[in-house]
Amino acid sequence: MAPIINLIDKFKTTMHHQVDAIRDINRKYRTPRIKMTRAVRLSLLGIRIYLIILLSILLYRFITLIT
Amino acid sequence: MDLSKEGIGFRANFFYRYRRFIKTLKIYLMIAGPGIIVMVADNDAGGITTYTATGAKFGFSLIWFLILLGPIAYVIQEMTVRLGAVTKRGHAEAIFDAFGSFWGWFSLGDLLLVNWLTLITEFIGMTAALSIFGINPIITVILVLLLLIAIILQGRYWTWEKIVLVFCLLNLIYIPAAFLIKPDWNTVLNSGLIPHFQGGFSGDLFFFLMANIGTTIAPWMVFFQQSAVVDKGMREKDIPWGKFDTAIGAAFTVIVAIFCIVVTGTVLYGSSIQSAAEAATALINLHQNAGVFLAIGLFDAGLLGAICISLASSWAFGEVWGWAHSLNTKIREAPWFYLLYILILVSAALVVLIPGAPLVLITLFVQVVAVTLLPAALVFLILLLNNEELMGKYKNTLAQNIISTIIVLFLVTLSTLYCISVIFPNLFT
Repeated sequence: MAPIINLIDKFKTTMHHQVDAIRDINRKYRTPRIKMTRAVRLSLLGIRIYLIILLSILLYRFITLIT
Repeated sequence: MDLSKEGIGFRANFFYRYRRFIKTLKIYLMIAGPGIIVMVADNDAGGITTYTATGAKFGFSLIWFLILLGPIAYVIQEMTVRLGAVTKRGHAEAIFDAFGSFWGWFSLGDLLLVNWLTLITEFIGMTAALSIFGINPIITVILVLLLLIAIILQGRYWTWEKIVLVFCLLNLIYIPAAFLIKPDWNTVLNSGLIPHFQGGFSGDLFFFLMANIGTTIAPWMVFFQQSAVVDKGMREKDIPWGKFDTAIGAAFTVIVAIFCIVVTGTVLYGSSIQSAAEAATALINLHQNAGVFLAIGLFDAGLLGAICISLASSWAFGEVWGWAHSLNTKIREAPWFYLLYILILVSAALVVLIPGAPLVLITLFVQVVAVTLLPAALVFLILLLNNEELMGKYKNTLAQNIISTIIVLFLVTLSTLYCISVIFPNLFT
Protein backbone atom coordinates (compact mmCIF):
# COMPACT_ATOMS: atom_id res chain seq x y z
CA MET A 1 0.00 0.00 0.00
CA ALA A 2 2.83 2.38 0.89
CA PRO A 3 4.38 2.41 -2.61
CA ILE A 4 0.98 3.24 -4.12
CA ILE A 5 0.48 6.12 -1.68
CA ASN A 6 4.00 7.35 -2.49
CA LEU A 7 3.18 7.19 -6.18
CA ILE A 8 -0.06 9.14 -5.68
CA ASP A 9 1.83 11.75 -3.64
CA LYS A 10 4.47 12.08 -6.35
CA PHE A 11 1.74 12.44 -8.98
CA LYS A 12 -0.01 15.11 -6.90
CA THR A 13 3.25 17.04 -6.47
CA THR A 14 3.98 16.85 -10.20
CA MET A 15 0.47 18.06 -11.03
CA HIS A 16 0.85 20.95 -8.55
CA HIS A 17 4.15 21.88 -10.22
CA GLN A 18 2.50 21.81 -13.64
CA VAL A 19 -0.41 24.00 -12.48
CA ASP A 20 2.13 26.44 -11.02
CA ALA A 21 4.04 26.37 -14.30
CA ILE A 22 0.85 27.18 -16.25
CA ARG A 23 0.15 30.08 -13.86
CA ASP A 24 3.70 31.35 -14.39
CA ILE A 25 3.31 31.13 -18.18
CA ASN A 26 0.00 33.01 -18.02
CA ARG A 27 1.60 35.69 -15.85
CA LYS A 28 4.66 35.97 -18.10
CA TYR A 29 2.61 36.34 -21.29
CA ARG A 30 -0.36 38.23 -19.83
CA THR A 31 0.15 41.31 -22.02
CA PRO A 32 0.70 40.85 -25.77
CA ARG A 33 3.97 42.50 -26.71
CA ILE A 34 3.04 43.19 -30.31
CA LYS A 35 1.98 46.76 -31.08
CA MET A 36 -1.80 46.65 -31.48
CA THR A 37 -2.09 48.49 -34.78
CA ARG A 38 -5.31 48.50 -36.78
CA ALA A 39 -3.96 45.71 -39.03
CA VAL A 40 -3.15 43.50 -36.03
CA ARG A 41 -6.56 44.11 -34.41
CA LEU A 42 -8.37 43.39 -37.70
CA SER A 43 -6.35 40.21 -38.27
CA LEU A 44 -7.08 38.90 -34.77
CA LEU A 45 -10.77 39.75 -35.20
CA GLY A 46 -10.75 37.96 -38.56
CA ILE A 47 -9.26 34.80 -37.00
CA ARG A 48 -11.85 34.91 -34.18
CA ILE A 49 -14.75 35.22 -36.66
CA TYR A 50 -13.24 32.48 -38.84
CA LEU A 51 -12.93 30.12 -35.88
CA ILE A 52 -16.47 30.85 -34.65
CA ILE A 53 -17.91 30.11 -38.13
CA LEU A 54 -15.82 26.97 -38.55
CA LEU A 55 -16.70 25.63 -35.11
CA SER A 56 -20.40 26.40 -35.75
CA ILE A 57 -20.24 24.34 -38.98
CA LEU A 58 -18.52 21.50 -37.11
CA LEU A 59 -21.09 21.65 -34.33
CA TYR A 60 -23.95 21.69 -36.85
CA ARG A 61 -22.48 18.62 -38.60
CA PHE A 62 -22.00 16.85 -35.29
CA ILE A 63 -25.60 17.51 -34.23
CA THR A 64 -27.04 16.44 -37.62
CA LEU A 65 -24.94 13.27 -37.52
CA ILE A 66 -26.24 12.35 -34.07
CA THR A 67 -29.87 13.15 -34.82
CA MET B 1 55.00 32.08 -74.71
CA ASP B 2 51.72 33.94 -74.74
CA LEU B 3 49.83 30.68 -75.17
CA SER B 4 51.59 29.12 -72.18
CA LYS B 5 50.80 32.20 -70.05
CA GLU B 6 47.19 31.98 -71.16
CA GLY B 7 47.13 28.27 -70.23
CA ILE B 8 48.55 29.01 -66.76
CA GLY B 9 46.03 31.82 -66.35
CA PHE B 10 43.17 29.53 -67.36
CA ARG B 11 44.29 26.79 -64.96
CA ALA B 12 44.74 29.26 -62.10
CA ASN B 13 41.31 30.71 -62.79
CA PHE B 14 39.81 27.20 -62.96
CA PHE B 15 41.35 26.12 -59.64
CA TYR B 16 40.32 29.40 -58.02
CA ARG B 17 36.70 28.86 -59.13
CA TYR B 18 36.87 25.18 -58.13
CA ARG B 19 38.16 26.02 -54.64
CA ARG B 20 35.49 28.72 -54.29
CA PHE B 21 32.82 26.26 -55.35
CA ILE B 22 34.04 23.64 -52.85
CA LYS B 23 34.16 26.27 -50.08
CA THR B 24 30.62 27.43 -50.93
CA LEU B 25 29.41 23.83 -51.03
CA LYS B 26 30.97 23.17 -47.60
CA ILE B 27 29.25 26.24 -46.13
CA TYR B 28 25.95 25.13 -47.66
CA LEU B 29 26.34 21.58 -46.31
CA MET B 30 26.87 23.03 -42.84
CA ILE B 31 23.74 25.19 -43.07
CA ALA B 32 21.62 22.68 -45.07
CA GLY B 33 19.02 20.76 -43.15
CA PRO B 34 15.86 22.40 -41.80
CA GLY B 35 14.60 23.55 -45.22
CA ILE B 36 15.18 20.26 -47.00
CA ILE B 37 13.89 18.17 -44.08
CA VAL B 38 10.67 20.14 -43.60
CA MET B 39 9.89 20.19 -47.31
CA VAL B 40 10.61 16.50 -47.90
CA ALA B 41 8.71 15.53 -44.75
CA ASP B 42 5.81 17.52 -46.19
CA ASN B 43 5.50 14.58 -48.62
CA ASP B 44 4.42 12.44 -45.67
CA ALA B 45 2.17 9.36 -45.80
CA GLY B 46 -0.90 11.56 -46.33
CA GLY B 47 0.86 13.54 -49.05
CA ILE B 48 2.00 10.43 -50.94
CA THR B 49 -1.54 9.03 -50.70
CA THR B 50 -2.90 12.26 -52.22
CA TYR B 51 -0.36 12.21 -55.08
CA THR B 52 -0.90 8.52 -55.92
CA ALA B 53 -4.69 9.01 -55.91
CA THR B 54 -4.31 12.15 -58.07
CA GLY B 55 -2.16 10.29 -60.60
CA ALA B 56 -4.56 7.35 -60.74
CA LYS B 57 -7.58 9.61 -61.19
CA PHE B 58 -6.27 12.37 -63.47
CA GLY B 59 -3.12 10.89 -65.04
CA PHE B 60 -0.40 13.50 -65.64
CA SER B 61 -2.80 16.38 -66.21
CA LEU B 62 -2.26 18.03 -62.81
CA ILE B 63 1.56 18.04 -62.79
CA TRP B 64 1.61 21.77 -63.72
CA PHE B 65 -0.54 22.47 -60.66
CA LEU B 66 1.92 20.68 -58.35
CA ILE B 67 4.78 22.75 -59.80
CA LEU B 68 2.88 25.89 -58.75
CA LEU B 69 2.65 24.60 -55.17
CA GLY B 70 6.46 24.56 -54.77
CA PRO B 71 6.88 28.38 -54.75
CA ILE B 72 3.83 28.69 -52.47
CA ALA B 73 5.41 26.41 -49.87
CA TYR B 74 8.73 28.29 -50.26
CA VAL B 75 7.18 31.72 -49.58
CA ILE B 76 5.64 30.51 -46.30
CA GLN B 77 8.61 28.50 -45.05
CA GLU B 78 11.17 31.18 -45.96
CA MET B 79 9.46 33.48 -43.45
CA THR B 80 10.02 30.94 -40.66
CA VAL B 81 13.76 30.92 -41.46
CA ARG B 82 14.00 34.70 -41.03
CA LEU B 83 11.83 34.70 -37.91
CA GLY B 84 13.82 31.89 -36.26
CA ALA B 85 17.26 33.24 -37.19
CA VAL B 86 16.47 36.79 -36.03
CA THR B 87 14.44 36.14 -32.85
CA LYS B 88 16.16 32.84 -31.81
CA ARG B 89 12.71 31.69 -30.72
CA GLY B 90 10.39 28.95 -31.91
CA HIS B 91 6.98 29.79 -33.34
CA ALA B 92 5.03 28.73 -30.22
CA GLU B 93 7.10 30.99 -27.94
CA ALA B 94 6.89 33.84 -30.47
CA ILE B 95 3.06 33.59 -30.51
CA PHE B 96 2.85 33.56 -26.69
CA ASP B 97 5.16 36.54 -26.46
CA ALA B 98 3.58 38.66 -29.19
CA PHE B 99 -0.13 37.80 -28.91
CA GLY B 100 -0.51 36.80 -25.28
CA SER B 101 -1.44 33.59 -23.50
CA PHE B 102 -4.94 33.15 -25.03
CA TRP B 103 -3.64 32.78 -28.60
CA GLY B 104 -0.59 31.00 -27.27
CA TRP B 105 -2.58 28.25 -25.54
CA PHE B 106 -4.94 28.00 -28.49
CA SER B 107 -2.02 27.46 -30.90
CA LEU B 108 -0.14 25.10 -28.61
CA GLY B 109 -3.18 22.94 -27.77
CA ASP B 110 -4.35 22.81 -31.37
CA LEU B 111 -0.81 22.00 -32.55
CA LEU B 112 -0.52 19.12 -30.10
CA LEU B 113 -3.89 17.69 -31.16
CA VAL B 114 -3.38 18.01 -34.91
CA ASN B 115 0.19 16.71 -34.69
CA TRP B 116 -0.88 13.71 -32.65
CA LEU B 117 -3.66 12.87 -35.12
CA THR B 118 -1.29 13.34 -38.07
CA LEU B 119 1.23 11.11 -36.34
CA ILE B 120 -1.40 8.35 -36.23
CA THR B 121 -1.83 8.68 -40.00
CA GLU B 122 1.96 8.36 -40.42
CA PHE B 123 1.88 5.10 -38.45
CA ILE B 124 -1.09 3.92 -40.55
CA GLY B 125 1.01 4.61 -43.68
CA MET B 126 4.11 2.86 -42.31
CA THR B 127 2.28 -0.26 -41.10
CA ALA B 128 0.33 -0.48 -44.38
CA ALA B 129 3.56 -0.13 -46.40
CA LEU B 130 5.37 -2.90 -44.53
CA SER B 131 2.26 -5.12 -44.49
CA ILE B 132 2.82 -5.42 -48.26
CA PHE B 133 6.06 -7.28 -47.43
CA GLY B 134 4.22 -9.46 -44.90
CA ILE B 135 5.54 -7.63 -41.83
CA ASN B 136 3.15 -7.63 -38.88
CA PRO B 137 2.01 -4.10 -37.83
CA ILE B 138 3.12 -4.77 -34.23
CA ILE B 139 6.68 -5.49 -35.38
CA THR B 140 6.62 -2.42 -37.65
CA VAL B 141 5.46 -0.19 -34.80
CA ILE B 142 8.09 -1.54 -32.36
CA LEU B 143 10.93 -1.19 -34.89
CA VAL B 144 9.84 2.33 -35.89
CA LEU B 145 9.58 3.43 -32.25
CA LEU B 146 13.05 2.05 -31.47
CA LEU B 147 14.50 3.78 -34.53
CA LEU B 148 12.81 7.12 -33.82
CA ILE B 149 13.92 7.09 -30.19
CA ALA B 150 17.47 6.00 -31.06
CA ILE B 151 18.08 8.82 -33.54
CA ILE B 152 17.29 11.56 -31.04
CA LEU B 153 19.06 10.07 -28.04
CA GLN B 154 22.60 10.50 -29.40
CA GLY B 155 22.56 14.07 -28.04
CA ARG B 156 23.65 16.07 -31.08
CA TYR B 157 21.43 18.10 -33.43
CA TRP B 158 24.01 17.75 -36.23
CA THR B 159 23.98 13.93 -36.12
CA TRP B 160 20.18 13.83 -35.96
CA GLU B 161 19.97 16.14 -38.96
CA LYS B 162 22.38 14.13 -41.11
CA ILE B 163 20.56 10.86 -40.32
CA VAL B 164 17.25 12.47 -41.29
CA LEU B 165 18.80 13.83 -44.51
CA VAL B 166 19.64 10.22 -45.48
CA PHE B 167 15.95 9.35 -45.09
CA CYS B 168 15.18 12.43 -47.21
CA LEU B 169 17.39 11.02 -49.97
CA LEU B 170 15.47 7.73 -49.80
CA ASN B 171 12.35 9.75 -50.63
CA LEU B 172 13.79 10.09 -54.16
CA ILE B 173 12.97 6.40 -54.70
CA TYR B 174 9.96 7.50 -56.77
CA ILE B 175 12.34 8.64 -59.51
CA PRO B 176 13.79 5.16 -60.28
CA ALA B 177 10.27 3.74 -59.79
CA ALA B 178 9.04 6.04 -62.57
CA PHE B 179 11.89 5.06 -64.90
CA LEU B 180 11.26 1.35 -64.22
CA ILE B 181 7.74 1.50 -65.60
CA LYS B 182 8.96 3.31 -68.74
CA PRO B 183 6.32 6.02 -69.17
CA ASP B 184 5.89 7.84 -72.45
CA TRP B 185 7.81 11.00 -71.51
CA ASN B 186 6.37 12.95 -74.44
CA THR B 187 2.87 12.35 -73.12
CA VAL B 188 4.02 13.22 -69.58
CA LEU B 189 5.46 16.54 -70.76
CA ASN B 190 2.64 17.42 -73.16
CA SER B 191 -0.13 16.49 -70.77
CA GLY B 192 1.56 17.59 -67.56
CA LEU B 193 3.21 20.91 -68.27
CA ILE B 194 0.41 22.70 -70.13
CA PRO B 195 -2.07 24.13 -67.61
CA HIS B 196 -5.48 22.63 -68.27
CA PHE B 197 -8.24 20.74 -66.47
CA GLN B 198 -8.72 17.40 -68.15
CA GLY B 199 -12.42 16.72 -68.75
CA GLY B 200 -13.39 20.22 -67.57
CA PHE B 201 -13.79 21.60 -64.08
CA SER B 202 -15.77 19.16 -61.96
CA GLY B 203 -16.53 18.63 -58.30
CA ASP B 204 -14.14 15.67 -58.24
CA LEU B 205 -11.34 17.74 -59.73
CA PHE B 206 -11.96 20.55 -57.26
CA PHE B 207 -11.76 18.05 -54.38
CA PHE B 208 -8.38 16.78 -55.63
CA LEU B 209 -7.03 20.31 -56.14
CA MET B 210 -8.00 21.16 -52.57
CA ALA B 211 -6.47 17.93 -51.25
CA ASN B 212 -3.16 18.71 -53.00
CA ILE B 213 -3.15 22.24 -51.60
CA GLY B 214 -4.02 20.83 -48.18
CA THR B 215 -0.84 18.73 -48.25
CA THR B 216 1.33 21.70 -49.31
CA ILE B 217 1.41 23.57 -46.01
CA ALA B 218 0.54 21.95 -42.69
CA PRO B 219 0.65 23.86 -39.37
CA TRP B 220 3.44 21.65 -38.01
CA MET B 221 5.77 22.77 -40.83
CA VAL B 222 5.76 26.38 -39.64
CA PHE B 223 6.47 25.36 -36.04
CA PHE B 224 9.03 22.69 -37.00
CA GLN B 225 11.24 24.76 -39.30
CA GLN B 226 11.40 27.76 -36.99
CA SER B 227 12.36 25.56 -34.03
CA ALA B 228 14.89 23.63 -36.15
CA VAL B 229 16.50 26.91 -37.29
CA VAL B 230 16.81 27.95 -33.63
CA ASP B 231 18.12 24.55 -32.45
CA LYS B 232 20.68 24.52 -35.28
CA GLY B 233 21.87 27.91 -34.07
CA MET B 234 21.39 29.75 -37.36
CA ARG B 235 22.12 33.48 -37.23
CA GLU B 236 21.10 36.47 -39.34
CA LYS B 237 24.10 36.01 -41.64
CA ASP B 238 22.92 32.45 -42.39
CA ILE B 239 19.50 33.62 -43.67
CA PRO B 240 20.47 33.59 -47.39
CA TRP B 241 21.69 29.99 -46.99
CA GLY B 242 18.55 29.08 -45.07
CA LYS B 243 16.46 30.50 -47.91
CA PHE B 244 18.51 28.56 -50.45
CA ASP B 245 18.08 25.39 -48.38
CA THR B 246 14.32 25.96 -48.30
CA ALA B 247 14.25 26.55 -52.08
CA ILE B 248 16.17 23.29 -52.67
CA GLY B 249 13.69 21.52 -50.36
CA ALA B 250 10.71 23.00 -52.24
CA ALA B 251 12.17 21.80 -55.57
CA PHE B 252 12.83 18.40 -53.98
CA THR B 253 9.25 18.03 -52.74
CA VAL B 254 7.76 18.99 -56.12
CA ILE B 255 10.04 16.54 -57.96
CA VAL B 256 9.01 13.68 -55.64
CA ALA B 257 5.32 14.57 -56.08
CA ILE B 258 5.67 14.69 -59.88
CA PHE B 259 7.41 11.30 -60.11
CA CYS B 260 4.83 9.81 -57.77
CA ILE B 261 2.10 11.01 -60.14
CA VAL B 262 4.05 9.72 -63.17
CA VAL B 263 4.14 6.22 -61.59
CA THR B 264 0.43 5.93 -60.80
CA GLY B 265 -0.61 8.01 -63.84
CA THR B 266 1.17 5.53 -66.12
CA VAL B 267 0.17 2.24 -64.58
CA LEU B 268 -2.99 2.85 -62.57
CA TYR B 269 -4.65 5.60 -64.61
CA GLY B 270 -8.43 5.26 -64.52
CA SER B 271 -8.55 3.19 -61.34
CA SER B 272 -9.95 4.47 -58.07
CA ILE B 273 -7.10 4.44 -55.55
CA GLN B 274 -7.91 5.29 -51.92
CA SER B 275 -4.44 4.99 -50.38
CA ALA B 276 -0.77 4.80 -51.33
CA ALA B 277 -0.57 1.26 -49.88
CA GLU B 278 -3.44 0.20 -52.17
CA ALA B 279 -1.54 1.75 -55.11
CA ALA B 280 1.64 -0.11 -54.16
CA THR B 281 -0.23 -3.44 -53.88
CA ALA B 282 -1.92 -2.91 -57.25
CA LEU B 283 1.41 -1.88 -58.77
CA ILE B 284 3.24 -4.96 -57.44
CA ASN B 285 0.85 -7.16 -59.43
CA LEU B 286 1.66 -5.22 -62.62
CA HIS B 287 5.29 -4.29 -62.08
CA GLN B 288 6.87 -5.84 -59.02
CA ASN B 289 9.96 -3.64 -58.62
CA ALA B 290 8.08 -0.36 -59.10
CA GLY B 291 5.45 -1.52 -56.60
CA VAL B 292 8.15 -2.41 -54.06
CA PHE B 293 9.75 1.03 -54.56
CA LEU B 294 6.38 2.69 -54.02
CA ALA B 295 5.88 0.77 -50.76
CA ILE B 296 9.40 1.66 -49.54
CA GLY B 297 8.73 5.29 -50.45
CA LEU B 298 5.48 5.25 -48.49
CA PHE B 299 7.22 3.82 -45.42
CA ASP B 300 9.99 6.42 -45.68
CA ALA B 301 7.42 9.22 -46.09
CA GLY B 302 5.60 8.10 -42.94
CA LEU B 303 8.89 7.83 -41.05
CA LEU B 304 10.02 11.34 -42.03
CA GLY B 305 6.62 12.74 -41.14
CA ALA B 306 6.71 11.01 -37.75
CA ILE B 307 10.22 12.31 -36.98
CA CYS B 308 9.35 15.93 -37.75
CA ILE B 309 5.85 16.05 -36.33
CA SER B 310 6.75 14.56 -32.94
CA LEU B 311 9.73 16.91 -32.68
CA ALA B 312 7.62 19.94 -33.64
CA SER B 313 5.33 19.23 -30.67
CA SER B 314 8.18 18.63 -28.20
CA TRP B 315 10.05 21.75 -29.29
CA ALA B 316 6.89 23.88 -29.02
CA PHE B 317 6.11 22.61 -25.50
CA GLY B 318 9.72 22.97 -24.38
CA GLU B 319 9.82 26.60 -25.57
CA VAL B 320 6.66 27.59 -23.70
CA TRP B 321 7.24 25.58 -20.52
CA GLY B 322 10.81 26.76 -20.35
CA TRP B 323 12.25 23.23 -20.37
CA ALA B 324 15.60 22.53 -21.95
CA HIS B 325 14.47 21.62 -25.46
CA SER B 326 17.45 21.11 -27.71
CA LEU B 327 18.60 18.00 -29.53
CA ASN B 328 22.08 19.05 -28.40
CA THR B 329 21.17 18.14 -24.82
CA LYS B 330 21.41 14.76 -23.13
CA ILE B 331 18.37 13.03 -21.59
CA ARG B 332 19.53 14.01 -18.08
CA GLU B 333 19.65 17.67 -19.12
CA ALA B 334 16.27 17.76 -20.90
CA PRO B 335 14.17 14.89 -19.48
CA TRP B 336 10.75 16.47 -20.11
CA PHE B 337 11.57 17.30 -23.70
CA TYR B 338 12.57 13.72 -24.50
CA LEU B 339 9.79 12.22 -22.38
CA LEU B 340 7.15 14.22 -24.26
CA TYR B 341 8.68 13.19 -27.61
CA ILE B 342 8.54 9.52 -26.61
CA LEU B 343 5.03 9.80 -25.10
CA ILE B 344 3.63 11.43 -28.23
CA LEU B 345 5.17 8.74 -30.43
CA VAL B 346 4.17 5.76 -28.28
CA SER B 347 0.58 6.95 -27.76
CA ALA B 348 0.05 7.54 -31.50
CA ALA B 349 1.59 4.16 -32.33
CA LEU B 350 -0.66 2.37 -29.84
CA VAL B 351 -3.81 3.80 -31.46
CA VAL B 352 -2.88 2.13 -34.75
CA LEU B 353 -2.62 -1.22 -32.97
CA ILE B 354 -6.07 -1.00 -31.30
CA PRO B 355 -8.28 -3.53 -33.08
CA GLY B 356 -11.18 -1.76 -34.78
CA ALA B 357 -9.81 1.74 -34.16
CA PRO B 358 -11.59 4.27 -36.45
CA LEU B 359 -8.48 4.94 -38.56
CA VAL B 360 -10.37 6.28 -41.60
CA LEU B 361 -12.27 8.69 -39.37
CA ILE B 362 -8.98 9.82 -37.78
CA THR B 363 -7.45 10.42 -41.24
CA LEU B 364 -10.42 12.61 -42.20
CA PHE B 365 -10.46 14.35 -38.81
CA VAL B 366 -6.83 15.45 -39.31
CA GLN B 367 -7.91 17.71 -42.18
CA VAL B 368 -10.63 19.28 -40.05
CA VAL B 369 -8.45 20.02 -37.03
CA ALA B 370 -5.54 21.23 -39.17
CA VAL B 371 -7.79 23.88 -40.72
CA THR B 372 -8.63 25.29 -37.29
CA LEU B 373 -4.94 26.03 -36.69
CA LEU B 374 -3.56 26.84 -40.15
CA PRO B 375 -5.09 30.34 -40.62
CA ALA B 376 -4.01 31.48 -37.15
CA ALA B 377 -0.46 30.12 -37.59
CA LEU B 378 -0.05 31.78 -41.00
CA VAL B 379 -1.61 35.11 -40.00
CA PHE B 380 0.57 35.24 -36.86
CA LEU B 381 3.59 34.51 -39.05
CA ILE B 382 2.89 37.49 -41.33
CA LEU B 383 2.14 39.79 -38.38
CA LEU B 384 5.38 38.79 -36.65
CA LEU B 385 7.35 39.30 -39.86
CA ASN B 386 5.95 42.87 -40.01
CA ASN B 387 7.01 43.76 -36.50
CA GLU B 388 9.95 46.13 -36.97
CA GLU B 389 10.88 46.03 -33.29
CA LEU B 390 11.28 42.25 -33.56
CA MET B 391 12.63 41.81 -37.09
CA GLY B 392 14.58 45.03 -37.73
CA LYS B 393 15.88 45.08 -41.31
CA TYR B 394 14.67 41.52 -41.87
CA LYS B 395 10.99 42.44 -41.70
CA ASN B 396 8.76 41.77 -44.72
CA THR B 397 8.98 44.20 -47.61
CA LEU B 398 5.81 45.49 -49.30
CA ALA B 399 6.23 43.00 -52.16
CA GLN B 400 6.75 40.12 -49.70
CA ASN B 401 3.63 41.19 -47.80
CA ILE B 402 1.49 41.33 -50.93
CA ILE B 403 2.69 37.92 -52.14
CA SER B 404 2.48 36.21 -48.74
CA THR B 405 -0.97 37.70 -47.99
CA ILE B 406 -2.35 36.48 -51.34
CA ILE B 407 -0.85 33.03 -50.73
CA VAL B 408 -2.20 32.86 -47.18
CA LEU B 409 -5.70 33.88 -48.33
CA PHE B 410 -5.51 31.30 -51.13
CA LEU B 411 -4.29 28.53 -48.79
CA VAL B 412 -6.82 29.34 -46.06
CA THR B 413 -9.77 29.53 -48.49
CA LEU B 414 -8.99 26.26 -50.26
CA SER B 415 -8.00 24.39 -47.10
CA THR B 416 -11.26 25.50 -45.49
CA LEU B 417 -13.25 24.36 -48.52
CA TYR B 418 -11.40 21.04 -48.37
CA CYS B 419 -12.27 20.71 -44.68
CA ILE B 420 -15.94 21.47 -45.47
CA SER B 421 -15.91 18.92 -48.30
CA VAL B 422 -14.58 16.32 -45.84
CA ILE B 423 -17.40 17.16 -43.41
CA PHE B 424 -20.05 17.25 -46.17
CA PRO B 425 -18.75 14.69 -48.71
CA ASN B 426 -21.50 15.33 -51.32
CA LEU B 427 -21.13 19.10 -51.40
CA PHE B 428 -18.81 19.38 -54.42
CA THR B 429 -19.77 16.21 -56.31
